[in-house]
Amino acid sequence: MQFETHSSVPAKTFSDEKNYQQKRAICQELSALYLASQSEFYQSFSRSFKLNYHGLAIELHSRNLDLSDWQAMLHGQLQSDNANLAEQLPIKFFWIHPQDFAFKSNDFEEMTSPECHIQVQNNCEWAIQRDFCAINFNHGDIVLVTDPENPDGIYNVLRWVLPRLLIKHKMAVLHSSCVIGKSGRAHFFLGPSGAGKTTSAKLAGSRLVLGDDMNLFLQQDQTYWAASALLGGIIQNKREERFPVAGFFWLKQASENSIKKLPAASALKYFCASCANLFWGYGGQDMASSLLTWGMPIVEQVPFYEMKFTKDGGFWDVLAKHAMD
Amino acid sequence: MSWQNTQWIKVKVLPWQEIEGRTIVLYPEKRMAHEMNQVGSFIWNKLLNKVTFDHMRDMILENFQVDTQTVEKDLCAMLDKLAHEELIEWQ
Repeated sequence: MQFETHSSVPAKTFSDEKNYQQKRAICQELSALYLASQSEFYQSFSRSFKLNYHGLAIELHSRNLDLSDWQAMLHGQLQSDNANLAEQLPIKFFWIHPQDFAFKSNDFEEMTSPECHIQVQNNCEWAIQRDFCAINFNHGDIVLVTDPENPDGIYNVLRWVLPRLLIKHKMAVLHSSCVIGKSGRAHFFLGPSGAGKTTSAKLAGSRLVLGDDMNLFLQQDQTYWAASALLGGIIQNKREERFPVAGFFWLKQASENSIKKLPAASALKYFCASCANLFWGYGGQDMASSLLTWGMPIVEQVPFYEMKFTKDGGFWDVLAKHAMD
Repeated sequence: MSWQNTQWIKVKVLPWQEIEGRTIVLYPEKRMAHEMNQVGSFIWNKLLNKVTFDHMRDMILENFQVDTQTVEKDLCAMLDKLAHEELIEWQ
């Protein structure tokens, strides 16, 4: 009797308990402030800008942060009008500097604890990670504390919130690298941390790399497409066009290059495990059920391989032999 | 764990999907995805309702060509794994 398990995220505890408790105290304070009077809370944020992320309307608000740099950066990166989800209420992010809570930047970040810790409190989600803490009030308002000097902080907040909203519209943010082959089709390279996603992107040669960490897989008109997710990573391509999907490749570093078609069940397991941050927090069971249902036709229609690869880029020759480049 | 002495065993209520004879179970809280082969899928399906160990063993014997001793040994091993991953409940 075979029984295999794959963890999408290794379970780790927050190693700096003091840092964790300080961030938790911030969440408690913010929750009380927000719930005491939402209108007063809103009024205390005087700066804002709007953007569109794959059809999701987003607003970023701040009290005293200069958002102009972020406006330019996120507008350039996240603005993407290739979906029309205009009926969506805007998702409002209220961004507060750690200094407002007498935090120095160096003390706020706790780089040894990479995992996001989620708690559900009174139907709200509290999220605490190495470089941010935040509350999602689950009706579109997210209050967050992160240092604007560290772009990873705001990206981690966006990675926490946006994938779950996109999945309802048949868009999955996949923890992956994505390379456009010579045929113009997209290759999603998947695997746990350390499997070789960034390495496979670096071995792309002259091929276009969409991203080496987070990429968007979407369904439209019964066709599957790849697009830049633009949610951080070393390589982020800002091109807005979409590319038809050639296949998924579950990475295993080896001494030889080879690909092997995976059975549909394994493909479904790896597809679900690659959906970034989808199960974090509230509503995870419903989200998981929806994902399984959506994933069934995907793994039947899109080729899914296990790819053993060496670090010399020779796997592209193997893919070319299978007409997959 | 002596599964033979339990009154009943059943799986937790979790999202799962059968595909080509295999079963995928997602455990969102633990951020885990599990895959079971044909026999594992058979067991998972039968454990959706409370079942005794003996009844489970007999159902496997009826459906697969395997001897009683092997079934009991493999079934215990499978239940140990399911319990370790917190996928089942029992009394």
